Amino acid sequence: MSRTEEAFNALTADLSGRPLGRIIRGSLLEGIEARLDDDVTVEDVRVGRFVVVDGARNRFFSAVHNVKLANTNEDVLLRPPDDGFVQEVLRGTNTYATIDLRPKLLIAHGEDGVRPVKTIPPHFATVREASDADVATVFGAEGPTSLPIGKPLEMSSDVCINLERFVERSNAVFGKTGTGKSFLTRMLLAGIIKADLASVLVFDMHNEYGMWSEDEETKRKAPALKEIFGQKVLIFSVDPASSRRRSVTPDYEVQIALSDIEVDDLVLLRSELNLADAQVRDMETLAERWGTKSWLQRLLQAQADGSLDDEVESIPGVHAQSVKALARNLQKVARKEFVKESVTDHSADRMLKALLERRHVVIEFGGKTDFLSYMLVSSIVTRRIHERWREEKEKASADGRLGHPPQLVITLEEAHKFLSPEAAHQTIFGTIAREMRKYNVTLLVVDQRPSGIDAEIASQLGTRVIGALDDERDQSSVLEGVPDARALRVLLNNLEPKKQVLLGGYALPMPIVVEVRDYYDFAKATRRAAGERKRDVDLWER
Amino acid sequence: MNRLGEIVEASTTRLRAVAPQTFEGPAFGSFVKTSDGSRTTYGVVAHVEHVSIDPSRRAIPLGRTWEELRREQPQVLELLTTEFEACCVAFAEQDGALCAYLPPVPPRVHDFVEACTPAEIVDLTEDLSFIRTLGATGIPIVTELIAAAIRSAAGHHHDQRVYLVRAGREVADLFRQDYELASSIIRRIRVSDGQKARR
Repeated sequence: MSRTEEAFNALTADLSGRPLGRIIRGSLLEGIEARLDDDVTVEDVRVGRFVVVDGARNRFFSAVHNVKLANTNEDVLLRPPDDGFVQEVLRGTNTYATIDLRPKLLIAHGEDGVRPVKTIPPHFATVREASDADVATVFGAEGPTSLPIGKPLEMSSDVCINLERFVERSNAVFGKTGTGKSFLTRMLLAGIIKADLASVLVFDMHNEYGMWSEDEETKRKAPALKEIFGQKVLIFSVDPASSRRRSVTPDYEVQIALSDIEVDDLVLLRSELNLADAQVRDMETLAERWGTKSWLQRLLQAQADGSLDDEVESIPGVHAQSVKALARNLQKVARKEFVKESVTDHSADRMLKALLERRHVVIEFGGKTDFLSYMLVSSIVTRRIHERWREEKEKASADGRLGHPPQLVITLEEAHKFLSPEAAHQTIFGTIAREMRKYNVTLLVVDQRPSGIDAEIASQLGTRVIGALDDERDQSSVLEGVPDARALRVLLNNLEPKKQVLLGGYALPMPIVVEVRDYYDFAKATRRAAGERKRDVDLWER
Repeated sequence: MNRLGEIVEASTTRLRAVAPQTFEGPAFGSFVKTSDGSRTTYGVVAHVEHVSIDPSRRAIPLGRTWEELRREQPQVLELLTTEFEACCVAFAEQDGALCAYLPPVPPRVHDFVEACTPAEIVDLTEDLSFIRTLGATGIPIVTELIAAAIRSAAGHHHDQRVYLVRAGREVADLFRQDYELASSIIRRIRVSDGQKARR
């Protein structure tokens, strides 16, 4: 066979499940090792590649976790041959390459369903590149409740996320800036909305989920949820002026009454408001005395008309000076435009109503990209949801005739602010991440600094979508509580930013690296399926 | 028929033959065969020598060129003989397939030795087991013998480079424990990448 023929054969073999090598050693605990066939160039085998191993009774599915060089004789390393011919001769005899595999699933020959592995393939079992049929067997085909999110490396078959399982638990999208987190998150949310599996609430700090978002690199406008789903999605704006500047017509303006703000909301903002421990205790005392609904208003009023000293004089354990400082700090909250003395239209109530009716809410923060506004609104709304869903669920459990509240997915950007080890135990978000699954509420955590998230909460995340991460701590914390974290870390280290993500967890049969599908195609198809009329077609459907 | 010699000694592993014309023996490392009518034994030429026909009388220096010798003392050529040895590597029964291992009985003395045809060489060397057989002969210059045999076989194969790589791997595999030995053979059969493969 001439070299051209060889090259041609190698090329055509790439289209099917070409054999890569044979199993030579391994264990269930440590993973298995295969020796590459001599005609397979080590440089062609990429970490993350999806492969199958054909045992006598089962077909095993795995990703390539490592590629290694090996030699049979130490002498060859002392004097490495510099001649191309000699190198070629020694390849496969004195020198060879191996790959590390960790089979996760198997399918018995002649059966349908995949199962977790409890054994390993025998010696010399053939390792092949997985075919598209293999991918379809493991990761399912597109269906009403399964979302194709991308394709395994160098393959053309879809990897689907099981959305029914996805919405059942809190999940996360991680990745450093510019890895396409918001595109992925939008895709997941659109999938959920399309499948009608849950109501979706998005705290949209950077205005990326309502109408449009802009691709930072290409400056191309990407359609967001409202643009895709129309009236099923409501936009609430914290900063209507900014919305108008971006030609977005919000459905509602967010208005928060002072009476809506509770001590817990402010505790979350401790660092933003510079609150000392003593001041937190003061707030709790005042709330107890003056009522949880009216303490803040009364405090600010007293501060304004100079009657604060008299007001707090009679309260034991509270010092006037400390309370004055507290009131000054809390002015920062009261001065926010969306915080009103009293409101006629309670935004939180509207949102809850919409969400209970299985509609979807995006809260845009417009130009208000300060954490104070973002966290305050998020906390107040989420706390209300927590109360309401819990109530509805308990009612439904007590009375079988009543329906359960709909599944709700709360999308939280910059999640480490809410779920830091300090905040996680005090705030409503920690509670939701830990236990609200029982009440049909889950979080979709979107963050670029996963190491800032409380370890216990991180370990409870159901499904993770992980883009490239540079920081060591971030890399180890995204895999917190995941079996085989060390092996997955290798895959994580080799992700191509913006293109590839590592998927794993509850909604997927096994962890896998995929090339993410094109968002514009996805949005176009989803909108067509949702029956939304084309409006700004020429803006993005090119 | 290209007669290379007549067998004067034979065993199951080796044969010794005398060439019909002095100085016209086969090449070292070339493939030869001998047939007794029912079985053909194949071998690789492992040793070629020009000696006096009388073992007790060595040739002595005469101080003349061969041209002068032919003219003045033509009997000198008659006193010399060319002998060669071949290592047996395979055999075939009449109308049978080629067996790439030693024959059950030695070739007969006085049978003639001939060169193998290119087709026979390809058949004989395709599966590379001759390399192992030669490796096991224990002769002192085994590296040279194996390298010469591979070189002489490679020219008859479709893609010389591919064949040399395969053969080299067989060598590397055979002498796994002795990298020096293996690499000395491999260096003796290497082709430079620029060299055009002979068809």
